[in-house]
Amino acid sequence: MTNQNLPALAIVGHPNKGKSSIVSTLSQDSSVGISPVSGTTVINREFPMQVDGTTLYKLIDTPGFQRARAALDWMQQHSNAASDHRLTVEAFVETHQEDKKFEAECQLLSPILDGAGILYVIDGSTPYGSEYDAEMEILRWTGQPSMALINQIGDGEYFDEWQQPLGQYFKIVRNFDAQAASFERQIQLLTGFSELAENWREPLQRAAAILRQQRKRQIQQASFLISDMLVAMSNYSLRVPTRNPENQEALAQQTQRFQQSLSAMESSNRKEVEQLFLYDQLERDESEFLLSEEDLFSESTWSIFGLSRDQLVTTGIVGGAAGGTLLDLGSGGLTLFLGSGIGALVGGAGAWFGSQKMVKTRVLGLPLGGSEWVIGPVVNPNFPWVLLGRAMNHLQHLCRRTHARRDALVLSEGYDLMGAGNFNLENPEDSESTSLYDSLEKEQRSKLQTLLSRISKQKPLKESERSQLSEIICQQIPSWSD
Amino acid sequence: MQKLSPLGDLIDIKAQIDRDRQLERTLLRERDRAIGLEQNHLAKTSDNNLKRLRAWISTIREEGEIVSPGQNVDKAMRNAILISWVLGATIGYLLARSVLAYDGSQPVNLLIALIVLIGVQLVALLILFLLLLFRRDKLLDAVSILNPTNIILLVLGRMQPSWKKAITTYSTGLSPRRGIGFLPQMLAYLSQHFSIALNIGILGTLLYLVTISDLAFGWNTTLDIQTDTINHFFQSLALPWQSIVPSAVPDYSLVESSRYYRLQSQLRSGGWEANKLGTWWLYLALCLVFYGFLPRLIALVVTGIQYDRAIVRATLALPGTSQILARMSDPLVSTESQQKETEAEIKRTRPGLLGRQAARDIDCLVIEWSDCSPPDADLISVGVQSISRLTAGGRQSPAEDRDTITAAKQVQCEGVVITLKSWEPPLLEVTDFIALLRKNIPATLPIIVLLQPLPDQSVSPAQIETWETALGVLSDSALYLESI
Repeated sequence: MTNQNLPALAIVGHPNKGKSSIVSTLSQDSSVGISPVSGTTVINREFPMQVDGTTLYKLIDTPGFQRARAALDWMQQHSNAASDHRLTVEAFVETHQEDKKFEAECQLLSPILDGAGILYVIDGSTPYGSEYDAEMEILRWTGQPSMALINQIGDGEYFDEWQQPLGQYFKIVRNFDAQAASFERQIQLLTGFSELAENWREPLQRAAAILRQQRKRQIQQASFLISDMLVAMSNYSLRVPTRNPENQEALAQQTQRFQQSLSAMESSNRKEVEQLFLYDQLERDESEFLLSEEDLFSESTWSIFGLSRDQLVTTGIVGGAAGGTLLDLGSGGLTLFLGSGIGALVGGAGAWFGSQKMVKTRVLGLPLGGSEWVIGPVVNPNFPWVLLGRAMNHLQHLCRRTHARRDALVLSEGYDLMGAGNFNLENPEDSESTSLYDSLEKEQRSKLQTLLSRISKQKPLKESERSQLSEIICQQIPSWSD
Repeated sequence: MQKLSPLGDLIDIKAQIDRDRQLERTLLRERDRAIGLEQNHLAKTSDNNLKRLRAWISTIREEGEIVSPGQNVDKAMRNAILISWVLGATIGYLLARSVLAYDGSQPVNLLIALIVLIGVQLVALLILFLLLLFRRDKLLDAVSILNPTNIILLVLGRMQPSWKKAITTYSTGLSPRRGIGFLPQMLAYLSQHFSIALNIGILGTLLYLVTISDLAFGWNTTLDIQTDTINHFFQSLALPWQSIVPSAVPDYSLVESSRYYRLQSQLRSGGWEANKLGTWWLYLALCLVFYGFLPRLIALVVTGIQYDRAIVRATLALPGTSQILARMSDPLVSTESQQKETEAEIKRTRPGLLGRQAARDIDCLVIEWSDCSPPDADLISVGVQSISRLTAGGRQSPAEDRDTITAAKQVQCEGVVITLKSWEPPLLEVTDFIALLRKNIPATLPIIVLLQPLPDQSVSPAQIETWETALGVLSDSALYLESI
């Protein structure tokens, strides 16, 4: 028997009316099979909501009724009075436990007879039919607290038609669109289950509070991931050794590689954010951002021992000065420290003029240095704005999505949160599309501008600045209070 | 497993974060929450974040046979410190031997000794603090190549590939965020070990030479510097210890008598007052302690603190650590099913139920399933002439369905049409009915399942496919599926 204080809800109904969609949305589990072919769910599947191992409630996805009229017929034949209805249902399950014919009915009735409440799901986009009566009658016979849920699968609107027949069998009837319900709507439905049993109120309220906190944390974690991605992508550069620095075709290939690496970083970030929201296999349809040559810092340079020419010259100056100082000291100050000055000059000049030869020098067959291309970082000041806009777009879509949806997450081009491509950094007021910008307080606008400006200039972001950026992102995703 | 330094832990945390990318999200959450609950005694404040992260990696190290690059790094660090000490002491000894070389012909020039043994160090110390104070990463990188400890690390890296890998991790890829590197601080810290050893080497050599030989100190210069000026210089240097060791503060007469000229020395036959010039050693030793050893000791503490802070910053700023802390702190909320999805296997034994090859309209018995009652015009549109109508399903009992079948047997027709709502799923009770009907009518008599769409709609291909799949299991060669 199920613990009577543990809220348990059996999601029951006609096949293909969205039971699994409801379960998928409420349990945030995309692995629930949602098939157009009836009878794909053959055994019950439990979805316990657990907090550190303690179960607060559980949902039970059940197979749909397949032979409801035959089952009801058996029960009517074996019942003597209304008072023995529940016993008759129990007898039915006991009798037909091993009977393939009533496999679905036995499965779905078992948790109800164990104490689970009933959540009867119908599709409000199709009309009521008399074939549902037998199902609802059987459920009434169980005597368990019940609620009817009108789900919306298609475009039709038959909600009013359903109200009257459902009202005859269920005290509580609710509308719920499993595909489009906001997070807060989901929580409301969850807490609404407490109307079925008074002792369910406390655990369900607690579960709702925990789920709200969890959503808040998910968004906060996502904002940190996005902040880190902005910095990583804005700082990213590619160093490629080359024998022929003038080969423009090869340079173009490397530039393309640079772009691909940036896209891979963004895509990896998207995946991490999706996983935070418990989407493991989400298909995503998002266009890639395109960088022009002007957006990139790109140069051909060389290195010796991993040092650039500037670094090598500095090293030469310091080394020369140190050597000269030793000469000065050796002469007991007679050279008036000219040694260190001359040493620095010679060291610096030697490094500057001799470096080209050093690059080609080979020691034990290995070159001391070589030419290389440095591609990136992206120097366009709009770059972090574009990235942030795209990331926020993705995050908002995720927050609005339910786990019942099986289609790809399409991130539209038109979503111009930060004015991707149209944002005038110098004069944000002139930007064509400034929805986020407009929604921010004056102080926050200037904060965001400062932070993104720092990022675009590859300046370090302090921990406090990272938190500020995260806070601004979080404030734009108020989905837990939608 | 032995406890690692904060640096070793940092390297391991980075490596573990990389490994965790391959792990399943649920497993990660469960593992980290379990560790977090074990660390409940640590308040979940930001001050404790580092402790909690170190406890996290420590637990993971203990629980699994993981490769710990942090151990290699710690080993490399210990060796780098050891080599710094040996090298520093050796160089100190050699430096002192060369500066304090005395063969009795001329005294050791105090000015050279002070400049070489102390002056250079003070200048190096000043440069170090200026660099750390006004950080310029490129300059630091360039200067660091001359740092002896950097060379030690590079040599160690050459000798041991695993160390090299760990060492290169110091400077690359630890974090995408700039300004949180710790290599300059680490080199500065290691340099102080080298410098302390250098000072100990010099001091030891001085004491050794003083003990086993007689040393005489003097000073000379070509410049026109008065004894007063030099005396003032020596007195000023002695300020820190003049009240503690007054005997080590030179007086004017000693300074004056210690001045010598190399040309004069060759002419003089009697030499200087050797025992008086020898008293300078204590002054030199205290100069080394106060201007060489002690500043380096303070620098060791300061750079040690800076190094620790840099490690803390780098650890906390490591991408992925905030997620680890969150997984440890946040309750493990699970709403997913622990059971695997089990789907029924639909066996279609007869592919393709669509389309009768009827050249003309046929007279049919129409059985309306669950109040699905299309008008005759709709039936005619699909080539069906209704000669009689019966009902089944819906509110009817199974017994009444059987009566319908009995009645159907009596009807003379060219086919039986069962009208169904296309938007409703094919239930097993429908296929039961069709199978029972077939048993009661000739096997060749066509049964046509006719799907009726919702008002103003047509039957969708998906609905047809769903019904086709469901009816396919009946293996009935005279069963057809059509739609209005």
